[in-house]
Amino acid sequence: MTDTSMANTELVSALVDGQVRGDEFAQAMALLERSGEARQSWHAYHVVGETLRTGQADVSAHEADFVLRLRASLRQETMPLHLQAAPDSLNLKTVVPSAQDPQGKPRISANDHRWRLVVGLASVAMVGVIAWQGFQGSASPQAQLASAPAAQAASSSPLAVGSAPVMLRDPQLDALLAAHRQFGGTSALQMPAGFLRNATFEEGAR
Amino acid sequence: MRRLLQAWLSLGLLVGASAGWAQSAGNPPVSSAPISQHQEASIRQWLMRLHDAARSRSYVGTFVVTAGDSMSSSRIWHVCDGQQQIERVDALTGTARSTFRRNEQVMTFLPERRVVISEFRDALGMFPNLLNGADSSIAQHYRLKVLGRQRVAGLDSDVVQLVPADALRFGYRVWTERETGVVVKLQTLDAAQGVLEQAAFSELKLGEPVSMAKLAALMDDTKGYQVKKQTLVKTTAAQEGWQFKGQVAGFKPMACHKRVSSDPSARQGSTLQWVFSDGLASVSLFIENFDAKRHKNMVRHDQFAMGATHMLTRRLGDWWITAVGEVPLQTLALFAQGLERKQ
Amino acid sequence: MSEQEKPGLDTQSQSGNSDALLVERAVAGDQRAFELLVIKYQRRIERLIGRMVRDTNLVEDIAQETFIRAYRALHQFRGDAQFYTWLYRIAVNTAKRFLLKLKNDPAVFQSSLQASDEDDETFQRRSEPSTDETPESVLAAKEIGQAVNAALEALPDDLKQALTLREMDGLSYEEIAEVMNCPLGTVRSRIFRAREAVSARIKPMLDKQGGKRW
Repeated sequence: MTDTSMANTELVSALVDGQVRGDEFAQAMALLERSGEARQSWHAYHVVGETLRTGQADVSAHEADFVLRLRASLRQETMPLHLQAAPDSLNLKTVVPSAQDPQGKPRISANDHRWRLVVGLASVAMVGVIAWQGFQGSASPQAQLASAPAAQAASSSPLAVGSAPVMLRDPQLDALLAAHRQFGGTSALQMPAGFLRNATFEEGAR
Repeated sequence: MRRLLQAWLSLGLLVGASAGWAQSAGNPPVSSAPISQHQEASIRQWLMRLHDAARSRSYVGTFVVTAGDSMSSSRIWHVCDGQQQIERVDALTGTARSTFRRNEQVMTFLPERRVVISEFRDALGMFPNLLNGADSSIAQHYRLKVLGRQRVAGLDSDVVQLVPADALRFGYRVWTERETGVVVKLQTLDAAQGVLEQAAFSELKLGEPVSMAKLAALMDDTKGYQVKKQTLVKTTAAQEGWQFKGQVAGFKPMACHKRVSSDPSARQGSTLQWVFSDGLASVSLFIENFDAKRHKNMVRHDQFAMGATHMLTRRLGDWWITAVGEVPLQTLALFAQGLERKQ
Repeated sequence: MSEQEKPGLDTQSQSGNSDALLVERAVAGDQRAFELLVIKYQRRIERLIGRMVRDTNLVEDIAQETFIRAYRALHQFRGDAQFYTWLYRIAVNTAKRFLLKLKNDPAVFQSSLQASDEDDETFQRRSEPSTDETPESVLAAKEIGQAVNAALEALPDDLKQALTLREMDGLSYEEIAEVMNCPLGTVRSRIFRAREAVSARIKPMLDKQGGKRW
């Protein structure tokens, strides 16, 4: 192990013992996000600890599978909005966000921008993955505009069921997206959330 | 913030008072009631407070953006001394980069390429103008709804929802820290109140001492880096021969830039970026010369989505139009349709 | 089943782990942070459920459901309590619900269900191996246990002492620094190096057990 990766993995050990805060915690999380080896260490350290404490090792043959299976289920979960009532607030129902795409899509890493086709969804917006999802537009643009911008319960326009999903890489689309994020961000919510959101996404690939 | 909320409540500005609003989660509310001056003033006040809170506080935190099953995160340091504010954003996911911002100047350091991109972003200084329009878009097209309270990153926060008045735009849920009004979490919602995207602090230390001098020094130290300046030319759509004949309620043109390609071999020439905003959501219309080789793939697949951001492309004679924005596709379609070449 | 399994007797002090921080991250949208908690507690939760339910497949299903419920309710977890205690209760409730549902199902062979009526009140030493323990898995567990002990013994004294004080005596870094009369940074480094050395021995075995796909 190189010196830097040693220093990094030490963070994982310190994380096990609750010894990292602030910057170090953020770094530890970033490492565990990108490195399977780091996650392996997280697992192994806990096995070591339990074995020492209980005198027995306990691992099963399917622990990684368990996590993968759970991950697929969690993908459909968004944090429900549970609020404590404000003293004068109206009695509002808990808002339950609708489920996402039931088909478990492979996890796409944050730096893998792939454009994807999506078979005609009632709401494209619902299948929010960071990869671009493209789908076949209707033959004439006019058809889409027929749905007037007035009160419609419809979410993003229903589209013709088209081709099967295809993954494409398109740096051109990425470049325009980046330009939109950098210079198109005129929003009253820009500071700090909007700017930070854009800055967090930016790839700087120009 | 509490007093402000109570003021709103006493003026009966909330959900129950407005005519024709659906209470259930499924239906987007439609209001035919004319907006009152009180509502306008309140939303403006609320937004001003948000904006000031972010500017005037020092803080350190970790920011997490999630869309679907992917996540990006960054570490943030922000300091303000009353006149100047400096911010540093380090990416924790994806390509290594450090973004520094001092007022409207932005320096993005890319350590792996030893390149730093220097640019000025007018949009960052636009905020007060977004609220001072004669027909203030935001209050016309969004309603503020108080939801309650929740803890975010260990901080007590108020939660409000900005409900869009029509299907042309998305809604937002905004969490603000109770004492200071700093936005700690932001969700973009579609018409069914599904969360398209979420941006939130997973950890936030307000009032944390951050050295402005140190950040400024880091920002200005470009030693060992190749400095690239953003080649943007400010222009107007009219000058470039374009006009917008469409009607997209609430959206106004905000800025227009021409981006000249630094690659001499590229035949594409310049790309025009025309930015529109309704105060909360923005749309960029990109106009380039049509290039059959580059654009032929797009003809078959012309609509895209990524989190809250949508993109639509189409050919318009000799040009290629790309509409990008945090709005539903049907809105982008209206934009694309409304663009016309001046005769 | 040792006493260490009982919640509340967890030898790691409240601040001795990052559970609360990981929960905060997960609530902010970082599902990976939640996965780290799953990796940490998966076996313990499965053993707990296994004491109430015999069928191995069912144990896993209930464990999955437990973590999903925990994820949904994460915002309710207050950082001043023990995460495992909270998770434990969710596991017990989830198991009970499953059992109740299946009890009323005429198609289910009842004796395959309940292992015992005890949940958190009493702990019984299982006299018979559960259906989870194949001869292969028992052997693997034994090998790993032996490897850990051998690796520990092979460590230089300062590393061995640091790791033992931390994992077996549950001392905090501060307490260990006092006992070993060294700076905090040294404690952290020694514990890390000890862990690394011991893990290196068992990682190949863990891989064989299917641990490589993290």
